[in-house]
Amino acid sequence: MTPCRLIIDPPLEGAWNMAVDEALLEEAAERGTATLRFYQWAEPTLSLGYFQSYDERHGHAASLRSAVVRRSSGGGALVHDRELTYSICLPAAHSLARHSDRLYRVAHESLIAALAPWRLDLSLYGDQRAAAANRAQGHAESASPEAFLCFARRTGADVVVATDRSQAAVKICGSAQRRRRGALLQHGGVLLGQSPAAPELPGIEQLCAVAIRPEQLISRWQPWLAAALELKLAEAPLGDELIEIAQQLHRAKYSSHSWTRRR
Amino acid sequence: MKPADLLYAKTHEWVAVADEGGAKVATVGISAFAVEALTDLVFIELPKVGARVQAEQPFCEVESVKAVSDVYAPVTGEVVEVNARLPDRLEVLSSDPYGEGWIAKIRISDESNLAKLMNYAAYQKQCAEEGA
Repeated sequence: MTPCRLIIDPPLEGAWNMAVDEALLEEAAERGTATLRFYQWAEPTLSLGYFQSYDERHGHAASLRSAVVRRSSGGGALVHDRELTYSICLPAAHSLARHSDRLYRVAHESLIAALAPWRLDLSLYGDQRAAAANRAQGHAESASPEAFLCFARRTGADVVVATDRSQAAVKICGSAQRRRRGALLQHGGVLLGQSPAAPELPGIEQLCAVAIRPEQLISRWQPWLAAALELKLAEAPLGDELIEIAQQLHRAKYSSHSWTRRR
Repeated sequence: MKPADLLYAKTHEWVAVADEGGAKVATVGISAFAVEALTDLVFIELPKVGARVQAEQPFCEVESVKAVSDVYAPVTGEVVEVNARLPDRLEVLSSDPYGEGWIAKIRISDESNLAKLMNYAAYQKQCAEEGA
């Protein structure tokens, strides 16, 4: 079992959320620590994938008035609003730090297990059942790999809801990663409800007629995640040193226009 | 280039050093082991020609399956050439990592880091330990 700090944050500013995640990754790379963090967003915020062009956001009218931040991780843009966001930072020594695909899958399978009491029809997109259902219904191409929004794309480890036969499986959780000197940051969002800033993306509430509060999901999910990743969780604050690193990253990087508009 | 003739960094970059006009120039790429671990590369941002890079510091970035990874400079010096065609044909990183998959050439300004690089046998041992 790997000792792991657990942080449960209140809704915070987007640039600060990204700065904290990078500070935790830096600590994982330098000191070999592990952290599981749950967080939310103080206002609807669009986060761009690291390699996405800023100008692409102009093609998504619903989120144009939302705050925007650029992530350090890859993939497409997310509208963070009615969601629970998580991040996991693993040191290089952890068995899953070298295996990006497995970490996506393991973390997302633990989410499916945690949500079992709500009896949602969830699966990984790549699993045979979802894939077969999509093929049969002719929806295999309904998600574009180049779509602006992450939740309009599909990869095999995404968590999807198998809706009724007339619709394709709908994504409710996707994640992205950043590597640093062997350490790995994985963060992602669970779409609890539809956002006015991304009305084309229904959340669990719209898809399954179930309202799940972030606090409920955190308490359900953390033991499943801990078991899946062999982490021994202990709730602990960020600490003065990491706060200072996060403040530097916030100031010099995530809150700066030059970073957000660098591509 | 033959993998057995190259030097390797702990962070999985390969290096071929040649004398060019009295200066040592390192051709740099990513090892086959690392390319396989990264899987499905979709984007690379090459360093800029003229950039001064520091050994063991990031000088290039790649994205695969929503994962962004740094590529580290194995030597200190100045980038004198980049493989400009690489971003449009990333498949050569897998098909020919030690040839057409080269990333950049760096004119070495400080040779001290060369001694830290591994030969092929030592690098293979590291890969075996990481893959275990």
